[in-house]
Amino acid sequence: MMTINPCSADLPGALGETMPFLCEGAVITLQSAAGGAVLALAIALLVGLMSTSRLAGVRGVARVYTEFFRGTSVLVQLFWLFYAMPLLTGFQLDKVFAGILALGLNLGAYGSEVVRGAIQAVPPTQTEAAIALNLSPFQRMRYVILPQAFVEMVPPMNNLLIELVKLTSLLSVITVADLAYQGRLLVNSGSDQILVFGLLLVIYFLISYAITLLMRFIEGRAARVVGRSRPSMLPWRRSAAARAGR
Amino acid sequence: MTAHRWTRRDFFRSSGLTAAALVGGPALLTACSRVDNGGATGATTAADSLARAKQTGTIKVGVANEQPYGFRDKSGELTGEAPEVARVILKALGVDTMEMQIVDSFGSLIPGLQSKQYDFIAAGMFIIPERCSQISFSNPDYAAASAFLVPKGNPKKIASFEDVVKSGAKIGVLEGAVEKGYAESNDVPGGQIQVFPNQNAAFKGILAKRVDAISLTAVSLRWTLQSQYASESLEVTESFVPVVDGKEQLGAGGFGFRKEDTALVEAFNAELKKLQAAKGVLPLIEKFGFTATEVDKAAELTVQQLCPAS
Amino acid sequence: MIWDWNWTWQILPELLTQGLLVTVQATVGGALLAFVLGLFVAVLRRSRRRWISGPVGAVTEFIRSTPLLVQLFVVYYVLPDFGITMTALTTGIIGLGVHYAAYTSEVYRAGIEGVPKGQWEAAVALNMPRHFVWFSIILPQAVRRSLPALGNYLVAIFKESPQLSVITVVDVVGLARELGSESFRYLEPMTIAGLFFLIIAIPASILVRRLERRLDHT
Repeated sequence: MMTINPCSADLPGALGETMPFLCEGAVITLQSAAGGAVLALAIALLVGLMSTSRLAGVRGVARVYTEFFRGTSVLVQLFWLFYAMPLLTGFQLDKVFAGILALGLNLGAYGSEVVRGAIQAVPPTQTEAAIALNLSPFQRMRYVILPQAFVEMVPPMNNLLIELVKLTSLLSVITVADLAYQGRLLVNSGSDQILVFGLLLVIYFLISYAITLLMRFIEGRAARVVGRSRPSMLPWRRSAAARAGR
Repeated sequence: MTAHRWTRRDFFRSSGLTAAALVGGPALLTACSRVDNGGATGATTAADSLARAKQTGTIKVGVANEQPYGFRDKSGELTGEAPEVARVILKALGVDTMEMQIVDSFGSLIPGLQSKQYDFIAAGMFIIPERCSQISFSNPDYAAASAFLVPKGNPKKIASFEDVVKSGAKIGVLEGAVEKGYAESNDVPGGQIQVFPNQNAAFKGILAKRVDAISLTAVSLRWTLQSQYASESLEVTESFVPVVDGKEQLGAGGFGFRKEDTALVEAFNAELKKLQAAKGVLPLIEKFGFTATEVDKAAELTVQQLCPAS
Repeated sequence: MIWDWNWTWQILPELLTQGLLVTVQATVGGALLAFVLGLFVAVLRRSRRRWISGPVGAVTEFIRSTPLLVQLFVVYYVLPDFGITMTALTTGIIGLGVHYAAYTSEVYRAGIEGVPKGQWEAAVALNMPRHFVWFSIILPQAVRRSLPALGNYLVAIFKESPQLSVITVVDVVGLARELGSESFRYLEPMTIAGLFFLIIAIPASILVRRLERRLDHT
């Protein structure tokens, strides 16, 4: 079987000129997305749990955090971290780190709402049963609430992760050499714009689709484990099922 | 049975969290260490840029992808008037590799230098007092006149900034470049000036008729027109030297360094002088459209003349 | 480096008038386009003719899966090659509008599906023509259910409008960048821009949540 390396410079015509650079950029995009996702998930879990706390103070902190980062524009944050903060604090952040930080903090705020909603969606009878069985609050969370909440979390998380990948394109504006940056550079250096932008769109779409497939898989496994039926993996079958009212 | 399921579930999640920690931990640590490097005060890294470059044999250079001053060619190599000259000079200093950092707009070059994204600017940047207050420059290696890019036949008859004012034409300039200042000093109203982030956007702008003309150096307009837009019906007007407040503004371009990198600037200037004395600059940059006039004029100028205050 | 208050007072009026004006134009224009186009798309996607709902659905998914920034580049740089040239602001509004129409169409879809099936059945029983059913019965209820989510997207469009500065639109952020690059002082303009978005977006999203709670009660 003949294997075609999509990133090689030996591809015919303009593809060979552009794909090597786009692939380099795609790697950076994926790395930034992965870093941002890890940070966002950690923050989402932490802040989400905090917002369901019985202590008003803890809930308040979570609320302030969420409101602040949901109310700011990611691009402005990136500019500020990159251009303004060094002047204010004397510290320069590595630009990829600054990008991951901004993305993680932002999406963590949205993610915490998802976590909160998912936790609150777990039937209160579960909590009551867990208390009746003499489980400590920690055990309650870890073994009863969170696993069930996890299933609810996955579809909205899917959307958030795709948003994350799309937001990594903003890192190109603070000169991180990601996919969007490489695309602009190629166009500035004279490559055909329709080809380059077309490739950009397709590659981003493929990344988003891969994430969706991954999330469906995770949701399927999570649902099976807590004893629910496994939804169909294919997106169009899924929306058909939703339309049928299931 | 139930316990078995939870265990598998927990394993899945805990392994996921562990993986995340393994990935995230080192990533955060490396990023933090870079903050330490960057956070060091300027004084302690004064001689270090040069020493570091000599030790590692590589130095980071900022360019704005502006042809032909400093850009990335089709094969991904850094080239252009400034990088080629810098390459020779750096080799003489024992630094063999230049790592390019391309900014998305000309105006980002100086902030990027100041925030240590790279160690010097090789973009043919004009040496002017406003910039001298922010960064140090080497002596100039070329001096270029301005020109306008207009549609073929020059329908609005633009040859100078006065013509722009008279004809009411809209002109495009680069963000952070000198031409905006020239235009404003010649009383071109703000509404007639459109700022573009880079040269490509400006060219696309005139082709899309967003502007009637582009104001840049004659060399860059001619080069870009001939190499990328030869089939379009555009032309470059006669070169001229803009006049601001009665003074001629002959744009002399050089290399930008951080103010604290005095050792690097001195070493660079020493080599540049040797190169200019040996008439070695022109052969390097002839292919980008430069002629003896541009090079010889620059050899006579020093940065102190162009930035008297510093 | 400390804060330069003189410089701040100097640039504040310009940022808050010129910049704000462009930002508002972009937000309102983009939102209007997104709301109207999204409704149109949502109705099309419910069409029983697969040759309509299929491609519309595919294009919508594609737009939702790709970055707004790249879409803005396409509208700004590629369309002129086909003879369609618009000002940067118009380009930005169209980019914002089309991108967020893909999202609002989902909101409308949920709203439409949330209308009780009994409404449809009653309309059929009363032998009402399809157009009438849609416009007078279903859509008013669907849009009403969608309002809070649409409000959230209005705030989202407002917050994402700075991306237009990358295609030379001189909104608050674009102006901040210009001022910063001319004076080499980015701190003040960028911080003002950041605070500006905070001060408007936070109350706005609180208002939207209030709206959601009020509509829930009815």
